[in-house]
Amino acid sequence: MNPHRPQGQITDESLRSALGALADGVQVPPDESYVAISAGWKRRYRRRRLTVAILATVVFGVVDVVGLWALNSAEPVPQVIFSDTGQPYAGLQPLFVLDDLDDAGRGAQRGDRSADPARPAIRARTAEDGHVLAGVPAQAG
Amino acid sequence: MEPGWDVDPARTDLLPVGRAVDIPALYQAHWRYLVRLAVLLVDDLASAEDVVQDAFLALHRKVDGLRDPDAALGYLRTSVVNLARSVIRRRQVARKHLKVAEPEATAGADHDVLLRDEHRAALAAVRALPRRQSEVLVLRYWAGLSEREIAQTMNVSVGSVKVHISRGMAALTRKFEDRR
Repeated sequence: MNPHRPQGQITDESLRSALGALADGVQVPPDESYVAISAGWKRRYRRRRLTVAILATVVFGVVDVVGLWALNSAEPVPQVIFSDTGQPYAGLQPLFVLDDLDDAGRGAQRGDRSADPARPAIRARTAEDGHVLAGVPAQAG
Repeated sequence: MEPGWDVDPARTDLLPVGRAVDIPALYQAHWRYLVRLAVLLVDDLASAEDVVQDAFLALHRKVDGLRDPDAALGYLRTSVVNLARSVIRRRQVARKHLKVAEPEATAGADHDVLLRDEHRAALAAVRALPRRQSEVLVLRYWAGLSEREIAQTMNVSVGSVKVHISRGMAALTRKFEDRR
């Protein structure tokens, strides 16, 4: 133990010494020729790739079989997905109806700068209660 | 010569010949060094050998894409650090979910090595550090790499390396103070 080292403090040297002691004590197997040892690595690598390829093939095959089975077990009745023979909006209520047409001049008289003299303002209400949803309401009288 | 090197890395005659990477020469020169580095990172000789084999295999596969043949050793070192990290992560997942290997059940690399108590305590403290801090300390104090080389090996900034070294040493000092 280093007598100059303060109690409880680890120094660079002590850490270096501890790591070196462990590394030096590891019994690394003796060198083999690179050709011999690399043949083993490559064999392992090929085996690993073969395993992955087999797994991928098996998964793909199983998914294929499941898909074919599902298609085969479906009812043979023709299933219509898209058809343009019916009314496209049959059964739907209109959200609002056009109630009145305003003339171009009223918008201009109210000072509505967005009013386009060339386009009449519109008033709209819902089909049920006549609540105004959008557009410019017409002035009374 | 840096500690842990079997062959001085400054001896360029053992490094790639010409502009092509001479993998057998690299293997002969650095196999033991890389295995010891891996042992310090994964704490298990069998895993360490696997890690180094995979690193050489990766180099063998990508040797044509290596622009600078002199960078082959750095590539191997980076591969070893990354693969060691993967091994530790897999081991942690296995311990967490499969309960197949408790930490106490596996003997560390120092099990068969006669170490002084002081060394053993230091190694235990290093292993208890966060992974990046322990990696940086091993690369700094065993492999003797500069901060810039460590940054290149770990693909982080030099500032980050300095922070990890500083925090790691502070944590080790705290552990030693608690222990006494």
